Amino acid sequence: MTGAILSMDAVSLSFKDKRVLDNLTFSIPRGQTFGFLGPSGAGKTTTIKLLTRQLAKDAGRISLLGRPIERASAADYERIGILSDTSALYDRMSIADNLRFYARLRGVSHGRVPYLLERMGLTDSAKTLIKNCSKGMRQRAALAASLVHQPELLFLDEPTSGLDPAARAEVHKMLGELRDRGTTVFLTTHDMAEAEAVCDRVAILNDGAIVACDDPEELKLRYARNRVVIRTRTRGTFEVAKDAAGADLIDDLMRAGELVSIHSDEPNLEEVFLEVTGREF
Amino acid sequence: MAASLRKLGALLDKDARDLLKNPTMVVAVILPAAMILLYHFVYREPLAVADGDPAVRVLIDGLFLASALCLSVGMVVSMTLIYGIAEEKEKHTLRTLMLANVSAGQVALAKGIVCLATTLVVGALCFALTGVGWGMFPAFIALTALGAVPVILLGLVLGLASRDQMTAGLYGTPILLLCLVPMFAPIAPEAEAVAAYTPLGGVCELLRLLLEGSLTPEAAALPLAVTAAWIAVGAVAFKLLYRRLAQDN
Ligand SMILES: Nc1ncnc2c1ncn2[C@@H]1O[C@H](COP(=O)(O)OP(=O)(O)O)[C@@H](O)[C@H]1O
Ligand SMILES: [Mg+2]
Repeated sequence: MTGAILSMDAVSLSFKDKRVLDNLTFSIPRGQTFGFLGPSGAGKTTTIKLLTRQLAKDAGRISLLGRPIERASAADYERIGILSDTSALYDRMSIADNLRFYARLRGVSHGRVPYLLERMGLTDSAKTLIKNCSKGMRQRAALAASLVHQPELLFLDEPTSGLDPAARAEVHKMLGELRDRGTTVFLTTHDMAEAEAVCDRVAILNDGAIVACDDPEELKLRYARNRVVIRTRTRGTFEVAKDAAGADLIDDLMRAGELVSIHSDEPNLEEVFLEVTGREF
Repeated sequence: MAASLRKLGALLDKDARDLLKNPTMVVAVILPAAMILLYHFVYREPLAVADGDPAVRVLIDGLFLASALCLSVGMVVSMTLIYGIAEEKEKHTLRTLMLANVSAGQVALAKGIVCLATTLVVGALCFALTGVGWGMFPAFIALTALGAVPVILLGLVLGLASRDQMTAGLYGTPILLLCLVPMFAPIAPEAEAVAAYTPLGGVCELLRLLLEGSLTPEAAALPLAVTAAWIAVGAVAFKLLYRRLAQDN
């Protein structure tokens, strides 16, 4: 696990008798955008709470910035940014004033505030009070606040939930820039398309256990369904296995002039999830 | 150290600015002032008598100053401090701060300092409205500050214990009542026995002794001890509870 900026080794957690996280093991090298993917209730937020010392694990080891989490110092936490599922800014302050407040807390210049506003598409609403902002604006403002001090490790708990497609695209672009700058990002999402678009590696979490962990492309190849989709003139659309029987069927259909089209059905992460867990996302 | 001071500075600035935009703050200022003005009507007759009778003067000044002190401390702590912290818990801004590497202690210190300053401003305003001679002002402000310390410590604990602004109202009421008991001591003998042992009873008694000109070390011992005991209670409660209460899952 050398070189990892963040890792979990056989970490488990129970609330009362309910096991919420089961034997989690992964490690994230510096600079990677790591997606923690799973349906609602899978344990994503709980995992972030363990990694940011909001909760204590029952068993296993967690290492943060190269040392056991129990020994992480206040100075270490200045190198980290966190957007939690409940992160919120001050209602009676404008977006820009909130960001300036966080810049001052973090001991960085206000000079970065206009840049962050611009990157989040909030320049025009810089003076809007948080209480008058839409949910999407608040979310982007809170994300900007977690970035004022240019953290080298960033935790984002469902940063795009509740955002419209345009705002989501802004956030995805920002994530791309963070990656270019070498920031390590631990991102949770229940959105498969998002994980495919922005993550270098994803772990799929189901009921508190990691059921797959790899490069998204690798996962898609591994769990590619061995089928093609056939469209015919009179017999409708159906799937055919990529085997000898399938080849014979396609041959027959072509000879009969029935075949309209053949699609190789590229699996997406959603289907990978279905494949590895046996249930719908 | 430098980082802690920087964070404290940022928090103080934010909390002080917010006070000016916060509608509950207006109530915390207006209510004590309005009560003091009301007293001028209620005690019209004793006030007229006091002009010719120094004994009545001392009594009525004591009543006015105790009320100004109790109302300032009680209203500002229950209205601004407890609600202010409860709002930060309810809206998760407290947790967001803590995730930005600010400690619960720093948040509490900033809120406590701003609350103390506000109490003194409201106290000064109320003092001006009492009509008591300005010679008493330094002692009044010093005793208001001293009396406010344990109430602010308890207010911090209750604010952190509040889940939301509704519970803040519930927790704020007993603190407010406890603060107001010494106000009634000069007019209700039943209150007098209890009043001496309430958080503000000590400082109100010191104020009375000073007005009467009978502030001796022996006379001051009990009220000072009561005040010190409440400060100790507030400090211990705060120390034991604040970290745990600051969590909000
Ligand atoms: N404080 C808690 N007490 C008991 N159960 C909890 C607590 N927090 C979360 N859980 C449970 O843990 C599971 C995982 O929750 P969570 O990590 O929030 O999921 P996700 O973020 O993936 O939607 C859920 O079943 C949830 O009900
Ligand atoms: Mg969650």
